[in-house]
Amino acid sequence: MRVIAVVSPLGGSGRTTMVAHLASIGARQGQHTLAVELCAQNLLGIHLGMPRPASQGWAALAATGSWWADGSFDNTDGVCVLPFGPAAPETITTLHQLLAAHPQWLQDQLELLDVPEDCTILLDTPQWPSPLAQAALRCADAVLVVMEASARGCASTDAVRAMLQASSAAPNVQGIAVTRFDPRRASHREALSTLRQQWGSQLLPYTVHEDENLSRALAASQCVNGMAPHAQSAHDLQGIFHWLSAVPPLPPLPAPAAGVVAP
Amino acid sequence: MTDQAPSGTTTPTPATEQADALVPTRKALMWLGRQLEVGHEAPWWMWLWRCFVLPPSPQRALRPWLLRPVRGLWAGLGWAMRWLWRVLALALTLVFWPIRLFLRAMDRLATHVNVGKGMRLADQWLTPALEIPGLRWVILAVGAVTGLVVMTTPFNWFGQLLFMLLCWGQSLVLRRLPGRYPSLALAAISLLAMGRYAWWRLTSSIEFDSVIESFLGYGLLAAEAYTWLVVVLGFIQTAWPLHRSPAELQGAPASWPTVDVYIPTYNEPLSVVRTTVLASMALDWPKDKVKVFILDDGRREEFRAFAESMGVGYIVRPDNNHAKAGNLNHALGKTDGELVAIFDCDHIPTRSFLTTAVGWFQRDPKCAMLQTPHHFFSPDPFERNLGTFRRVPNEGALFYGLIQDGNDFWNATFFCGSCAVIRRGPLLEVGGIAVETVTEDAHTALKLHRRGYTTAYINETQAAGLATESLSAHVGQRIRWARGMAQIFRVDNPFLGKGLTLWQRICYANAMVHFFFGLPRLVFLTAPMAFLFFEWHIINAGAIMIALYVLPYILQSNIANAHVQGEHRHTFWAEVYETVLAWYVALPTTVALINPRLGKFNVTAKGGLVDEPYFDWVISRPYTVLVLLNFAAFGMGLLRLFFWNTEETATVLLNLLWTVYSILMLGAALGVASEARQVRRMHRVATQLPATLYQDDGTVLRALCLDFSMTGVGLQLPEGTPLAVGDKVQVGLWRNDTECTFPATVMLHRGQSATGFQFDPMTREQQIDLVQCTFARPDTWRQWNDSHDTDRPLHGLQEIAQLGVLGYRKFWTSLVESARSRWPLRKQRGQERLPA
Repeated sequence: MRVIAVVSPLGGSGRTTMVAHLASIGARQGQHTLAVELCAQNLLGIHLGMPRPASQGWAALAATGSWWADGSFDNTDGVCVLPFGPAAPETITTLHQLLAAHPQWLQDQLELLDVPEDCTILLDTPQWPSPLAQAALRCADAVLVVMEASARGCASTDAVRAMLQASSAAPNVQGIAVTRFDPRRASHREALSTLRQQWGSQLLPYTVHEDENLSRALAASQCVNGMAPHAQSAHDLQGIFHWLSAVPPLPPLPAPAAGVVAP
Repeated sequence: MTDQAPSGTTTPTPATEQADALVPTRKALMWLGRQLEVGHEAPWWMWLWRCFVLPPSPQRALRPWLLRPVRGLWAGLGWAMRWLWRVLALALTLVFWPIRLFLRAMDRLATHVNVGKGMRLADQWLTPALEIPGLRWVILAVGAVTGLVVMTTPFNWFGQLLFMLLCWGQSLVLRRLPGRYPSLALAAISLLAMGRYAWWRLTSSIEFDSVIESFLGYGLLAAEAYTWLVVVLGFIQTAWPLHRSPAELQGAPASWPTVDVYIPTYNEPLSVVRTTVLASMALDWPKDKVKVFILDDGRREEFRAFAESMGVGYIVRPDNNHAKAGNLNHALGKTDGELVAIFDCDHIPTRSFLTTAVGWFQRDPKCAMLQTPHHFFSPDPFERNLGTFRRVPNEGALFYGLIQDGNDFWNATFFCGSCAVIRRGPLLEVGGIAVETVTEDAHTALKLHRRGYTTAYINETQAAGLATESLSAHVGQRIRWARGMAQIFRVDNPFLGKGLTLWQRICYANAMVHFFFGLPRLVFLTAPMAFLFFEWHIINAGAIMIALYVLPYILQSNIANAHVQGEHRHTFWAEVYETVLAWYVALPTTVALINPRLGKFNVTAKGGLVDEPYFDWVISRPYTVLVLLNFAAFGMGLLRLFFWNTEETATVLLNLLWTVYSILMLGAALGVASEARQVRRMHRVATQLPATLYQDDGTVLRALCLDFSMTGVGLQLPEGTPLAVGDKVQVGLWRNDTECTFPATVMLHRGQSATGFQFDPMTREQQIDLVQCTFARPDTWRQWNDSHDTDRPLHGLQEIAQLGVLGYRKFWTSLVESARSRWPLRKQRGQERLPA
């Protein structure tokens, strides 16, 4: 069982999209995948085939003390999805209290799940800082930080560092993925080069492009790899999946010659 | 008036008999008259008029009707020829089948030879043996004596045949073995065979009966001696290609030398020079240590404005003395970098040019010059007009792939005018770039070598440019080189004067002597005519003996060449190149040898366009004359074979075979003169790069860049991409891990296959980015040679023969077309008059 937490200090940078697609790509390749939505937005389902946000999810069940995984469903690709479900603010408060009382709660619940040995569990977290995001970081084997290519991302260095320190994953499986990248825009290009200088080799070589194909796929409740396999975003997400699987997919990009001054 | 018989009786009378006999002919005449629409009372000439000049209607024209059986005959002949060809091919296959088995057996034998073990054993035994003083010279002397003995022993025909088979078998095994020593051994065997041939030729075949035969005979012998000399010199020159690899740069970037980049230009258009300047600005080198200068001998305002907008230097001088050499020397006085990098205005360097080249200057303080290959990404006239681009290595591949590498071992690499780095100090010591000859580059390197400096060659393509655009430009460039080399030979002979080692002298001499191929090649193209036209015997030996001596020599040298040079030049192509240039090179070299001061420098035009296919009659005049002579000789040869010289069949056959070979080579030369159309002004480079396509609706597609140029790209897009011609898009290309986008318009969209895009106007930064993403990538030219076919000599010969036949066909159609345009057919003229 491998737990991967997708976290971000920024809102709207694409965690849910990332989780949905990584789960989908894995399931298409025959891996057992479970996508757990820890984010109260309750939108993971519509990435993975549901026409409307899920009407039942784990949050309400866990708040009342029942077995949390009763609200899961499988989609046609073979991804097992555990949506958050509609939740009132009181439910959220109860969950936070639960986590404050039992910091290991999420870890225990995940271990109690009846999933195959080689299952990959993807955790879609709320914007950090948040107790659920903290809990996810603590029980994750690999951490993927998702940031958009903008000045906001460049200003979040401290927050990301705090996140990575809070996580229990080894440093070589902590990566930062840049999303919503449009190289036509000068601000994005500058932001990306700044992020590269800040994070060096921790930044994944695959940046997810801002692609209309992704939005269209969401509107059709599908994943872009199925709907438009030649889209650049599909290629980028595939690359991120490979990085996570620790399979070297492409030859490493040529490093600049020793001693050459960067432009 | 004859008596008419009473009606009812038809007893034939002599008169009516005559009349009856006339009836069929009259009937025929009447039928003919109806066909030709000639009336009864028409005058006699009307018949002829209708027959030959103005037929009654197109369907009734007499000439095509007469020609119909001829056409049928022609078709029948073609059919017969095809069947004859098939039978011949079958017969040849059967004859060569045992030879093929023998070849395969030799190949299998080669797999059993363990070269590595052999080398180790040789090391074990020979190294201690060679320690004994003097033994080395003894072995060399013994080897030389043995070689001489082998070369000079006279054999009868059987002995020679056996010798030939032995050499051949050994070569077939050696050519499959890897390593340098088998190559040396192969070359040595071919030298032996050549030596035997030369000895026999000199001793047994020059006894002539008349003065004219002696004159021609000695002329042919001189031409052959020239080829022997070139082979020997070439053997030494390419014995041990050095394969030098780039040296790592030492020290911190702050300690690296400063470099001035010179881009001399005269009358080339700005569009050609722009890319070079942009790529030079993108060179990987500390920005404060590299300066780019445009040296404009044309003193043009748009260049000055361009240099100012780009922030590069711009140097002009008040005159144009000594052309490019003077231009460079003037700039030397105005700049102060420790190293000088020189690029022709259309040679685009990759980013890694300086980081590859400068390392050796740091490592070797005496290194004065480092040369990299001249690579062309557009086809030269041979490749374009014969259709061999990227399949057959081009003419320069042998020089830059093998010869300069061989020169490097003997420290004899010479400067080639571009894509090189020179150290300022030594260059100023020899007085700058040489101005005494038109090949100023080689002469400068010679002067540097005389001073004791070293030069280096790195066989990695770090810059690429445009090849000559048309055959006439190509010939002009080669004439200049030939003239320059001959001038250097006279003015600064490498064998005389001090400062050079023996091996450097040999290498330089070979480079110069190579350009004297004009006269010998012309001699070879016309030699058989002496016998076929005039029955002069200029080789006094039986044809069988000639065959037995020449065949092993040709076979050996082809096997050795194919092994040593095969990946840089396919067998028999040297003949094509020399045939095309022979006539034009012969006169300038002879004149330059006699008086080096004559002759002017002519600039090679860059960036021209062949927009309509045409046949270059002017350039091909000498070939046409030679072709006609050879065909006439062939005809005479056939007559001699069947009628006149039936007792000398072997000699006639040999001469006929030689003539056929010359005809095929000349045909290929004619094929090169038929200029094919060039579609684009900016040549596209074929490649495989990842790319992205940004469309207006926000979708981003993954694509593959199949070719690029400064004005556009070709992308391979997924099936069903909705694109229409005229759509505005952005194309993304990668420079390392940075993606750069460029605005473009869809030009050509053909579904699945490559879609063509033309770039919209770009900013300065975008242009620099484009060059860095495409031309200046360090690995752009690395896989260029992967698409070359392997050298298969017989197959290559067949291909050249086919190109020869094709050349004749192109020549004939061009001839007919130009004749038609000058003398239009009568019908056309008649129709033209009708409306009036």
